[in-house]
Amino acid sequence: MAQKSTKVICPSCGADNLPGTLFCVQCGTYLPSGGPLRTEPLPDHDEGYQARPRVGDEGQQSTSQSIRLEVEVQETGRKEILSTEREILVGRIDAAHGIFPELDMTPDGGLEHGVSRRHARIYAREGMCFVEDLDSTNGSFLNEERVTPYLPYAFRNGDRLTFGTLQVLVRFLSGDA
Amino acid sequence: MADIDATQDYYAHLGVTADASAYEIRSAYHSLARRYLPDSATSDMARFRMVQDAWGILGDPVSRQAYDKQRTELGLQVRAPISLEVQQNTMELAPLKGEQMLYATVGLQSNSTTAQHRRILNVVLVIDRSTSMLGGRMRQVKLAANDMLEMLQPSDFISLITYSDRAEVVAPSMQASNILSLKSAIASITPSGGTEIYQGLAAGVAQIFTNYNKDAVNHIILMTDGRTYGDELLALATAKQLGEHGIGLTTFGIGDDWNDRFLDEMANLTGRSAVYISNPGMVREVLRDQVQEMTRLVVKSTRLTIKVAPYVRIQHVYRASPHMQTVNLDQDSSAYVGGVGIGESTVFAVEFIIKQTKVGDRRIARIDLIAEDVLSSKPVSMHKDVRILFTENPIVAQPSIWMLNILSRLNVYQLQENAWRAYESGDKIAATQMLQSAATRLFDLGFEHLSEAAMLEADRLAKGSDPTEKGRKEIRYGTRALEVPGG
Repeated sequence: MAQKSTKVICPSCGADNLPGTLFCVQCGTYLPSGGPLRTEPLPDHDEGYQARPRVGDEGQQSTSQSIRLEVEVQETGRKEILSTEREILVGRIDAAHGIFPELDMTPDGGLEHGVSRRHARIYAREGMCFVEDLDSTNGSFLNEERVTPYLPYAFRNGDRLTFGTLQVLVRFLSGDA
Repeated sequence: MADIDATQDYYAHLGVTADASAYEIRSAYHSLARRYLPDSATSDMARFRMVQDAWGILGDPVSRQAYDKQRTELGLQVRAPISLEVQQNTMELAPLKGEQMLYATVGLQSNSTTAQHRRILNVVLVIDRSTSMLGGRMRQVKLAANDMLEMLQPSDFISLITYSDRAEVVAPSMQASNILSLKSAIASITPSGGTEIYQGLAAGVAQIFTNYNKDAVNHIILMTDGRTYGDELLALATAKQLGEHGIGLTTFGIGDDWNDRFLDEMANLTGRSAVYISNPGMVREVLRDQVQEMTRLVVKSTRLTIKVAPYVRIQHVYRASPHMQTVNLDQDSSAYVGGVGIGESTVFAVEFIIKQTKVGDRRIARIDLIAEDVLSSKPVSMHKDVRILFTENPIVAQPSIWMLNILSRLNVYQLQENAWRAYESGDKIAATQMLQSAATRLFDLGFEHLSEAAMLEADRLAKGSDPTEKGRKEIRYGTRALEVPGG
């Protein structure tokens, strides 16, 4: 017996949308979720030692096109495996604004630890991995050194990346096909 | 790693084809394993073991590669030049009294990563020589044409046409061996006159067929900086014919005063797009990239067909990657969609509207792709189904992050396209609202420049002015190129 279908009313603009619609036809809001959470700047945030951009002349693991990374969030012990085949956005999901980070730090208390929705990006070029801060509210750090926004910093197996105050340990995984 | 027995068809054990993606293999394994599990109603230990063995080999990319290699060596498996992958945002839906949405992505991936042979080209350049092209524009176009000549090989064919009120065949289609004579022909072009695009296009078509080569990449590049009047229908009909012959037509619009809908439509009929050349200095690079792309084409005459069940209709089809473009299906539910280059992929997104009131496992749509391998001219044909299990308590999983990213960027593109259509049909209020929404979404996605542009045009509309040509083109072509994560 078919269920009665309920139109989905957009929480932003009130437009009617068919059930199953992902983005409101009138304003683009992601329908299956709630509102955005703004990143607050953390009080007394230690600026840290300013790092110089490293463009990766140090020894790097460089085999196939994409590199598989395992990131371990120190705060929660949570591990996630990511592929650099595509650019990895680090941040917090804000579906209402179409922000879907590949490394979503919401489950680790991203909001409380000062992680912006679009905090940083990780990508691979020519067998090396880079992290780039996207001008986040509370900054990104590579092994305790603060990185300058929009500049690429090469990182290696075993390095620690910190987003806001959430630190992750990065390991390069071998045997990528 | 389990022992590989290359005489077994593990793909068949899982009910997939040899070009199935990792996602499809995993989905097939899950659903079959569930079905044949010891404690399920349809338990079958023999089948269960077969499914497990197949997964053992095909689930791991390394062993799958080894298996494929052995199969190919034994002559049991032939790799198609491209693979087709379909993903849907959910596999299960509840039967509803009314309509509901379903999204699918259709990915075409080139299977080879190394360039084995550079393709032979048969190119015609059709250049606008109207008065407005005087000065910087024609200078840059000439430089670009010269650059292009350097990229050609003696076995390529090239022809040069200029047009204003009439077309002039500056160089009839010939082998690209005598570059000097071609260069002096280019140097002699002098702008004057109006703009009759159909004249130029027709002359170009005559030249492309002179040396039409089914084993080559046949392509016309048409440039203009202005508007034509009265010959649009003729030009579109011609473009349609080009599409049917697997001949690509790429259009370059230089400056801001050309008809973007018209140039889009002409190019789309052959599976290509219009390119916005906001600054004449861009022509060289753009033309270089186009020619480069041609030399790396894997398949051409690519035709996508989407046939749906009677209770389903298609709301939209778009190309989502590498850049966004509306795809218009014809009365046969098909469209020419342009090929794929070596090592590249292209992704389409389809929005289905479904009205199904009964439970059951149903095929929603069948997606067919036919194309021609550029090197061998052999036909390539593949198809995938979109299936939905209609059940009272559907498992509605969140679509993959990749799909969400694609659909979210596509939505911004749609918003601004809808805004322009609303404006064109006189609904300024809706247009303003949609442009404002697009501006907000663009800002959230980090595209600040485009967001500003959209806001500016929205403001103009709100104040009762008309949008600017430049703003419109910036937004339309800028949102097309929104970085979508690779497919």
